[in-house]
Formats: sequence, C-alpha cells, structure tokens
Amino acid sequence: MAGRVWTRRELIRRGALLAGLSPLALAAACSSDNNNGGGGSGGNTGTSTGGSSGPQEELTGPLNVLAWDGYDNPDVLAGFKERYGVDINYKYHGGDPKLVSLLQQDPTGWDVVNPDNDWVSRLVDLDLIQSIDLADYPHVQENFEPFRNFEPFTVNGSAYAVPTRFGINGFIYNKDDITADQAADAFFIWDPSYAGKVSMVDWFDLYIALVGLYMGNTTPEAMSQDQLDQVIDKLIELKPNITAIHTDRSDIEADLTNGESTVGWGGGTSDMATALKVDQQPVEVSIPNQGALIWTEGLCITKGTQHLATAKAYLDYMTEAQTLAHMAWNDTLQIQVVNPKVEDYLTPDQYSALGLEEATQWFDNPNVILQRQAPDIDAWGKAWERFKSA
Amino acid sequence: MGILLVYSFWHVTPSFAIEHTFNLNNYTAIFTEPLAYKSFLLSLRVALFSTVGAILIAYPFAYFLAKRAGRLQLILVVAVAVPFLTSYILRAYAWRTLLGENGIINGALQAIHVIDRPIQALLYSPLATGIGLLYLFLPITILPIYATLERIPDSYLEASSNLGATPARTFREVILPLSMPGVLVAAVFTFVFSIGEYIVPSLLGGGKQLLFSETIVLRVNSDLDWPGGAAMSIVLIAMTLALVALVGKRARKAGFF
Repeated sequence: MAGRVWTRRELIRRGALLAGLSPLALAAACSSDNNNGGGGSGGNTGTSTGGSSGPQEELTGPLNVLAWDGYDNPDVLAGFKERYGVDINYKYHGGDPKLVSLLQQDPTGWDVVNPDNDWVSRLVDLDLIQSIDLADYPHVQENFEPFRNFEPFTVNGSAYAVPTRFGINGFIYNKDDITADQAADAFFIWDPSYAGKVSMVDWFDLYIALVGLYMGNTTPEAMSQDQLDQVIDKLIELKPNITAIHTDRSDIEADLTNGESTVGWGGGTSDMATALKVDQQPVEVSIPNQGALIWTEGLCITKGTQHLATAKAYLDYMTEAQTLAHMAWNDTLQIQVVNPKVEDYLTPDQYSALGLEEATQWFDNPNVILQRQAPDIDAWGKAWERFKSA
Repeated sequence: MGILLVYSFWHVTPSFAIEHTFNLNNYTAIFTEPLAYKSFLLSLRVALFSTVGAILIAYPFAYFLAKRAGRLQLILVVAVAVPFLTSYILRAYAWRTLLGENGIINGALQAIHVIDRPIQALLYSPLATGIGLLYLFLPITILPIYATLERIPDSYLEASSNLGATPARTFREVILPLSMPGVLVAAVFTFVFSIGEYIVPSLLGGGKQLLFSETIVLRVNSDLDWPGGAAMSIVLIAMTLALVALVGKRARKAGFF
C-alpha cells in the first residue's frame, strides 16, 4: 500500500485524537487510508471490516458500483449497509463496452465494476482494474469447482475478479412447437420452417463464437479470417429465420411469450428460461449436441478506487452464499449464481428451477465452453457489421 | 455541436483510446462501409414513408377539423394533442401489440378472411418503424396544416363556388395552394423528426436492418467509436439543416412566407 502525506492540520487533528483514544483507535485511523488516498469524497464512513477480510479497517464510502441488473437488489444493498454502515451507489452499465466507456471517462468515479468473461482481461490491458488476492475471499472456495480459480479472470497469474453469476447460452424453445430431439441439433434454427421465428440479441462475440462452435471450431476465438467469413456467411443464411435482433434480452422473453418467436437463441438462455417457466410459459432449454457457451460475470476493484477497504468488503460480501441467494431468486430476477451453497437459503423448488442441479453436467460437457478467451474484437466487430448490413 | 465536430475528425484505437489526430476516415467510412450507407438510405426511405403517409392522413383530417367540425372542433383539436400527454415510449410500444403476429391487425385481417396466416413483416421491419413514426408524428403533421386551413376565409370557397368551380377545382386551385405553407412546415417537421429517431426503430424495427440512428448508437455504445458516431451525427445534422434551408428558400420564393 502506498503511503499518504498528511497535512499539518490532519496531523494535529489525528494527534489530538490519538492522545485521547486507545491504541486500537490508532490502528483504525491508520488503516482508514487505502492506497489511493482513502476515503475522502465527502461520503459516509462505516464500521470496520472483520473476519475474513483480514485486519480491522475503517470503511469509507459510499461505494460506487457499476454493474449489471440485480446488484441493486434492495435486500443485498440493505444487508451491506446493515453490516458495514456504508451505502452503495449502484449504476446499471448496460453492457461491457459501456462499462469500459464509463470507466475510461471517470477512472476514479467507480470502485467496483462488473464485467463478463474476457472483458476482465481487456480491463486489465486498459489498466483500469487492480489485481486481487483470492485468499481475501474465502467464500470463493465454496463455488462450483470451475469458479474457484476461474481462468478467464486470471491474467499473468494474478486474479482480477471474483465470479458471481453465470448461465448458459443455448436455445430456449417452445415445447408446444418444437421437440427436444429437434432442438438437440444446433442447425435446426436454419430450417426454413422456422422463418421469422428465432429471436436473438445484438451480442456479436457470443453469436460468432456459437456458430463457430457449431461449425466445429472448438476454440472459436482462434478462428482464422476464412473461418470467420464462413461463420458470417452461415449467420447471413439465418437472416430469414430471425424474428429480431434485439438490443435488450427481455425482448426475447416478450417474443416467446407473445408467440412472435418459438426459439430464443443466446442472450442468457438459462436465466431467461427460469423466468419464463416461473410465468408458466411452455419453454425448455436445449444445449445442442454441437455445444454451447457459458457466460460468467465477476466483480473487480478498479485501479482508481477511493474506497479500497470497502470494495474488498463488498467483494467478500457478494461471494457469500446468503447474498448470492438474494441475487439468485427475487421478485424481479431469477439467475444462476456460482456458489451452490445458496441451496441452504433457497427452497428446493427454487434451487431446481434455477438449473443449478444441472450445472455440473454443463461443466463436464466437453462441448460446452466455460473458459472463454478474448477474440480479435476488431475483426469480429467488422465481421458482425457484414452480417448486420447483409 | 462544436465538440461533436472536433470529435468527428479523431480516431479510436483497438484499445478504445481516442487518438487526437486529424483525419477524414470517419466521413469516408459513411459512404464506403455498407452498414453505414445502407442504414442512411434506409433512414431516408423510412422517413419519406412516414412523412408522405402522415400528410396523406393528416390533410383530410385537418380539413375536416378546420372547415367541417363545427362544435366538435375544440374537442377534436384537444384529441389530436392528447397523445402528447402520454409516454412516448409507451405509445411506440403499443404498436407491438397491434402489429404482432398475434396482434390486433393480423387478427382482424384473418377474421375478415383477407389473409390466411399472419403477416410476419408487419412487426420488426422497416415498415413497422415507418408506421410507428407516422403515428407518433401525426399530431405534429396535423396541427400546422390545420392552422393554415383554418385561416383560409370561407368567403374564398364561396366565391370559387359562385364562379362555377367544382369542389375538386376549388380544392386544387384555392385550398391547396393556400394551405401549402402548412403542408411544407408539417412535412419538414415530420421528416426531420423521423430521420433522427432512435426509440421507435429500436422497438419496432427488429434490428435486422438498421436505421442510421441505430448505427450511430451501435458505433458509440458497442464499438466505443465516438469519433465515428460523431461523424455520422454531423452528416445527419448537416443534411437536416440543408433540407430546412432548401425548403425555406423554396417556400419564400413561392411566396408562402
């Protein structure tokens, strides 16, 4: 931790405090400084970290968190405030590129960010997040095995994120129209009988990787330009069957509910299917024989954080099974989380509906890609534009 | 606007950093990259569709309002303006219910045996976007036309009739020329609002064929190519201003203003 130069006024103030307070207060005062200068954005201060987060540290805040939806769950926010006395300022980022953009615009304005998959390594390349010591987060070892030392969140041997949520990208299909056998072949959506019936979202690295996988590229990120062109040609062939390429994945759910489409492709298949099943929609998830991709998101501490101790406490809190159970099942969202111990806090029906019982089958399936690497984003972006303009 | 212009000459690197070096690549890309120029042309077509459609619907309604509504006039004018009091997004979203495969329009057409199976292209298509824009900006089209028609003295119409002109000739030679300033203002408003609109295309267009506004958002939000997005925005603004100036000049020349 880099030291901080105190002003004379601060020295006098702290000296007076030290004279009057116990040696314990000395420790707390010193530890309130983090490596970015600690505290001082005029926010609140809270209680101290304890237990798993190492030595007692005074927490400063509010903590600015830039995340996907769900991290603003009232129970989660209230639980953190109750335990640590620090408020969380949550902002929805709406997508990894937007996250990068917001963080680049204001590198010290955010303490914790919530990227997906290979975007963690991109944030490292851009020098926007700092490494973490997984030993500070003991609940990570309760995670499903692949998420204990999750490779895409590790760069040059250092960890940069704690995993929180995941899901699979296969198909959601309407059971009244499509059988499980039909949906087991990934290429069924190219059948002309599904004209205008396949809903998807605008997520270029997902769909290019998926079609690459379907076409036999077991490491889609390493595809050559020729292979990439073939993938785009295949996607263009699919265009007559596409209902819409939505900007918001909730529109896939709306299409399946309204009968506009009979297949939802990608966009977070498993959690959308859980939500639709809760709404009594006749849908099922298919992991096609050709394979599927798992998405994983995590929490990272920014390089420019003003509240390092609080950020660490937040990451620890967010990896606990009880917190993740609130995230996994609430009134607005049902989504898979990485810690199977949430079973202790959910009903058996909820745990089952989330598909967490099947998760280990996904991890064991050799055709399901979990450890996604960063593609050539420029080449893939241009390829996707060819698809969209076709 | 100045910031936008300066940005448009810069360049974004693969690591999302903005290089402050002057170049025209962002502008040439608009006319060479298929996604950009195709979306630009599609935007022109959709805006033209909604403008022409809105005027064709608005004109008879505005005429009725100005000349035939009698005591209903005030109520109808209020009725035209009332949609502005409701959420703009909600109004656009409502068209999904109307245009969908299981929507009201397809249902009605099937019920009266006009079609055997639902028309898929009604929703999530440029047509859907055009219909949504037409509906959204219809009040903006009606009100200027109504205002000009309302100012035409009834004595002009009576004189035309007394001189033996048929109703069609009166319309062609008296009403239409006198109402043209309103029609032009309405057309410019509707076209300008339509061509830059983003919410309606993103809700109804389906994203398979992007409009120019959607391509700008794609550049900025997904590619983080702010300079590219800025150049596209500048082109859109320049075209809009040029159109307004051109119409204004022609209108002045014709003695409308």
